[in-house]
Amino acid sequence: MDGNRERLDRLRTKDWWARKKEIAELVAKHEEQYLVVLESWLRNGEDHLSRNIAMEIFRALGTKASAFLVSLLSDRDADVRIFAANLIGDIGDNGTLPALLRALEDTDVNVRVAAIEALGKMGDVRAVGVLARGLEDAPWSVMAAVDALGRIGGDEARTALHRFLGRGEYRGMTCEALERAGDCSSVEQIMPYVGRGEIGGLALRALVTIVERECVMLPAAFVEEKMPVLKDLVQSSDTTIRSAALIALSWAREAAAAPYLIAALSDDGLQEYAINGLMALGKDAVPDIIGAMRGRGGQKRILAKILSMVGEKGLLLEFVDDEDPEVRTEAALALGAAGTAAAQAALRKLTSDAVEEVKAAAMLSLQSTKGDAGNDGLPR
Amino acid sequence: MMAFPDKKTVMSEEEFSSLRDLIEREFGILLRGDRRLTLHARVSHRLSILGLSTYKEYYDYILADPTREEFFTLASHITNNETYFFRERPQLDAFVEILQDIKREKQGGTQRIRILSLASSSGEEAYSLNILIQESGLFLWNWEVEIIGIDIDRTAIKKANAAAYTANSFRSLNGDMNKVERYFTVADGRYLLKRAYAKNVEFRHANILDSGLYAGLAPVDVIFCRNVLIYMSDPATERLVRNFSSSLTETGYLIIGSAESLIQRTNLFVPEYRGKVIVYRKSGELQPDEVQRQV
Repeated sequence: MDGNRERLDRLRTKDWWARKKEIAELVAKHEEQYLVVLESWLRNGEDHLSRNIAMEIFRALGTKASAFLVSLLSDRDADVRIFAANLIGDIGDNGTLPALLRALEDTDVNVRVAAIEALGKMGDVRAVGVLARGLEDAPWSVMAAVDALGRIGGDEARTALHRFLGRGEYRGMTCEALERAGDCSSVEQIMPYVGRGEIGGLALRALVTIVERECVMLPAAFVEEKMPVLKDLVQSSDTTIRSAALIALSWAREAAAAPYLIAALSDDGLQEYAINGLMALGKDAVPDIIGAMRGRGGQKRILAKILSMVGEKGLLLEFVDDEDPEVRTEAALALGAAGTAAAQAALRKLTSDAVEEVKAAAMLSLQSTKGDAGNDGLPR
Repeated sequence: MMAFPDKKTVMSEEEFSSLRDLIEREFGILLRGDRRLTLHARVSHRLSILGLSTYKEYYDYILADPTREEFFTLASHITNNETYFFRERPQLDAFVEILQDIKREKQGGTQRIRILSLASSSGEEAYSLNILIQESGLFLWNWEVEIIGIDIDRTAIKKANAAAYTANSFRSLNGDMNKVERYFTVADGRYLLKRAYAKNVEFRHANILDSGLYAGLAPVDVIFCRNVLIYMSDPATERLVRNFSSSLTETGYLIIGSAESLIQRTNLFVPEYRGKVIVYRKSGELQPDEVQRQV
């Protein structure tokens, strides 16, 4: 016991990495030897470090600590009950479900909230009925229940959340919960709230996440109708909402989306959507693409490729002297199909380019005797 | 309902998976999600130039190439070469402060300072650091200053060695032509770095994940590796960090992008605040597996 006590005390002086290793060694021992110390640390509200370390050890113990933590759910001290519920949720032992459900009747609202959060983390669908009924409790409990239902998911949780979208004061949270738990059936439920009031961005984000996850498609008319909203939300200060708006714009078949898609090419996380959207716009995107290529943007090489892919190879003649060798390469490959005197002259010039790849592309195009033997952007 | 363009027409899922895994394994670059169009937009011209019909053939070609040239060419097309002079000025201001500390630490010792600019692209960062060192006036006379830029893109290395730029490389100077003209000779819309600012800087072609590279570079005083880790997988980040730790001096500095963090990702480095800028110092810790490897 004394040895373990010393070992526990030593943990207080260790940094996070060293502590992680020591804790892994400690939990291999019989927990009865040190649970009492951990309990005293958990109770000591004056010493946050000890309390945090105790929580780290309980989490590392996992299900071995379940019975002990369940006993703490009946402690006289509400703080201890809250910590116990938090830890039970982190550990996620389904055997503790009945104890957490009992904790939903706790007289202290914070304990109830902690128990609801724990049920959400546990993800056991058996809790859904109780949580759905709890949507009439105090506001903090309701918010926790909405979040928990989103984490648990499943048909019953989704149905409860769809119904709850009608409650304006919790609609933003419900959208966030549906972002996790929603399926195809949620799309139509959320659509009316996209761009509506303060939660319009959250609704859009939920909708886009679900559409992406479920591989469903939105009605084209809906995206068209929401263009002004999307153009507004693409300026949002919330990067996640900005991304959702851009993704939705990539689904639009509106030339007005092109400048936003071109700007999004610089964002590694959005590049795929932007290319997809610009290719889908096809010739409608060409004026904006040409405009961007004449400027100083950093994604000219991809724009050049898109021009080729949408069949506008001849337009690349303008960019045979571009500073970016990849743009020149793309132009060289594209011009092979043009067959005009100007294209031939440009290609001959490119055969003495300083960059090997450009030279190779120009020579290949010159060698192509007829037709489209250059690059149409698609593998054969 | 809307119809999305069919990505299968450009690249099959299997072809994408093979190339994605190859890219991650060899360069540590993680392509998250379905990035078929992105990959296609970046490398489809290679198929045309090589006379190949499918990405499966391209994959096989890369693996069969004994010179590994196509391998590096692929890397050069998937990496982001976006850079410019004096990028993220607050970090560079912190670097100038760090130079003073290094000078103090080295007082009476070796009069040599070596700095790495990793993923150096066309050299704007390496030359910016050299300009700052020279303007600090801290390392004159008998000091040996070395700034080594490393990149996987041969074309970028060539451009870096040429040290000739366009206006696009000066966007952070907001049109301050006095500064541009102080460092560059301007002719025909090109900006050629003055020789005085190009000396001490060299560029090498290499994969920054290759641990063999670092053996010949130690001891290094400062490593700049900005906006690289965001593209890297966790195992690649661990490899890089180990390489950084083994090549930096005990008092050395690691500077990563302001949007990147190593906090709780490694025990080999600890953050240090320089005003609002975070730089990393070696913690002096070795992970058990690290000790094993060193033995």
